[in-house]
Amino acid sequence: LTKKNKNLKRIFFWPTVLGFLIASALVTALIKDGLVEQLSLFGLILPIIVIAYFYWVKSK
Amino acid sequence: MKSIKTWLWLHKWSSLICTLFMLLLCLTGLPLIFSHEIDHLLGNEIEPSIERTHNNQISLDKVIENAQKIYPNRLPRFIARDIDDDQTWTVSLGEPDNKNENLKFVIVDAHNAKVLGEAKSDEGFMYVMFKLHVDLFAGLPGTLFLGVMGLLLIVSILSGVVLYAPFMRRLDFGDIRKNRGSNLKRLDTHNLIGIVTLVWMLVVGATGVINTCSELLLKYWQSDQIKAMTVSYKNLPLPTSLASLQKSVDAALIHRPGMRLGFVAFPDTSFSSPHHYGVFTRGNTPLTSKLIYPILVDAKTAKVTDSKEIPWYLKTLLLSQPLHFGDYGGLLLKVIWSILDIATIAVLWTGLVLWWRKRNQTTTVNVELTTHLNKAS
Repeated sequence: LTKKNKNLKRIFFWPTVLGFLIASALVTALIKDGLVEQLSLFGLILPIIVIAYFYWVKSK
Repeated sequence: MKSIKTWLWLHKWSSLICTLFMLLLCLTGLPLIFSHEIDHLLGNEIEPSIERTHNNQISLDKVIENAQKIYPNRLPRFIARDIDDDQTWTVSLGEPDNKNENLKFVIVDAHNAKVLGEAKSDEGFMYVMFKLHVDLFAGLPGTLFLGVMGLLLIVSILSGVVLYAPFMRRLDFGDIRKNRGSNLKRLDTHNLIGIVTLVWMLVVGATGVINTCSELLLKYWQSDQIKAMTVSYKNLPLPTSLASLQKSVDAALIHRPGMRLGFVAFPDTSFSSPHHYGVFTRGNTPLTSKLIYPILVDAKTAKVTDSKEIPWYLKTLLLSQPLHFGDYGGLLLKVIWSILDIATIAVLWTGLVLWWRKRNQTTTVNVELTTHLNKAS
């Protein structure tokens, strides 16, 4: 079971990080104005870069 | 093993039922993200001829008077403006015996009350996109049907997350096997884009479902709170002539100082009572500017009679709108929204093709999955 849990942690680590990033960026942009809002928008660009990187650059 | 089969079944059927509708929603949603910009480019947007630096607003009574000159036989139902617009008012006018349907929208300059034109809301490319996206040209049943499809999308996304684990057991995050057949490449692409855009898809899906309930929520609010707020007027005769709109709005703004006028509903609409103007103000922070604060003003005397914060379900509805439209962070957010929308189309499409291929033959996907699952159990 421990091995299985370890494996689940490995599988879901990056999806969880990206999920939190997207969620906080969506909410921050909604309740803040100005620089903080602009910064949070960049938090939403990162997932797009991640997809593009793995699809076009790193795929084997 | 058995439970994974159940999740596969759930993922397959929830997706299959909603996929075609979701593809339609993604495709029609794409131009809708940029509706403001598209209207501008097509020259359909009505703007005042001169940009002003001062902000001297003309009396709303004059605005209504001039709008009514275009349609003398119609009655004003609403006067409204966009959250960030100080230049124009949109006056909606209804037929006397059919007050709340088939409205005409007259745009009036907020500074000199000059009629600038009419907003055509029932023709053209964007109208077709809008109707397909909101109700499939089928009214409330169409909207609610799309809401159910949205719920299925959420089921399909969540079951997809559960299935992500067995498929990724021997792969690293982001691995796409490009040289081992088109099906494996398609499967890996489906999994990668799906898991990365997961939260966004859930947010836009869930807020879309909430939006499909807007008409019902407004009706409930009217029968619940508005009715309770105007109960003492129940047996009084209806007002024969209306008090000055500007006076009513002034009274409302004194009642709730520091707020910005959003829109006014004339008596007897879904946002007012037969005896009251419904004056709706907005706050001044990024968050409160998206909410509305109703103030009921006696339509005979122009005096404030009651004001109550909107209930939680209307707040949820109002805050779910920007989160669905992606219109709260300027052009950059709209571009991000459109890319994520296209990414969603890719997930839907790859999922559909995977199912189609699997249906016709025992593919490497099946073999791969069985190997994975046997090892896992």
